Amino acid sequence: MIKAHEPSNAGICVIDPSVERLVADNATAFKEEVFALIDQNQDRLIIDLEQVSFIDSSGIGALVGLLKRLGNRGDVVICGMADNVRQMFRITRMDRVFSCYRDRDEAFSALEAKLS
Amino acid sequence: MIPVRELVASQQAVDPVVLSLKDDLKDTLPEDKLGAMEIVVTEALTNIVRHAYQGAGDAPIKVRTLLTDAAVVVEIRDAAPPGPADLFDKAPSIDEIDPLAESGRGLALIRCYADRLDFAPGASGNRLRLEFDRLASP
Repeated sequence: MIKAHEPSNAGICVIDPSVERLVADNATAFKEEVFALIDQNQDRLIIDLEQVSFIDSSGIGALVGLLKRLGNRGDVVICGMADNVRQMFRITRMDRVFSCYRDRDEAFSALEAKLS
Repeated sequence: MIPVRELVASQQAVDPVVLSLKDDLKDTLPEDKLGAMEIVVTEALTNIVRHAYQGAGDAPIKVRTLLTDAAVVVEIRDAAPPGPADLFDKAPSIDEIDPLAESGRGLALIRCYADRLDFAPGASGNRLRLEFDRLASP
């Protein structure tokens, strides 16, 4: 389901959920696939939601699950949110939980700056 | 006239119903209310499939849409055992939910985005009536 791009030199891995709608029907599979990457020591993650036009509470829950799985040993940030995904983040206060960036380049720069 | 939709109690069946409903209402509801309807109906159907239908057989869930001058009414009837009458009264508001919770936001989102709702449990199933104003939010 997910498309994970090769980690950069800084060890940052971009994950594309590869779905238009991150909802109850696919949120658990998404989470489990990213968990598998985290278990392979991929611990600097950018979740690129550019292709996601809708997210429900199950999708939000899956993202929170990733954050909790990583704990203090890594980072997960979000980028590429469409307007209604951004609105869902605001309503559920995920905009305060996750660092959110306009696009992949901006997210990369922010994570690399944090690591340097 | 918008047809009554029936779906089996399966998570895979939720999205196609929501998307076809959204398509039917795209010229009736303003954009913000159409988005609200999408979230609310998704959460309501998911909640029914995930929680209400456990062991409740395979009777379909029915989604009926009514148009009034002021609002779109989406009525969801299931054949699950009766839920608590105060299901939505007791649901937390979205601000009361721990941001790090991995579940439990569905009812709060329904309360947050529906303009009005009424939940009526019954011996032969539950009816959830959801209203969305046809005027955009100020």
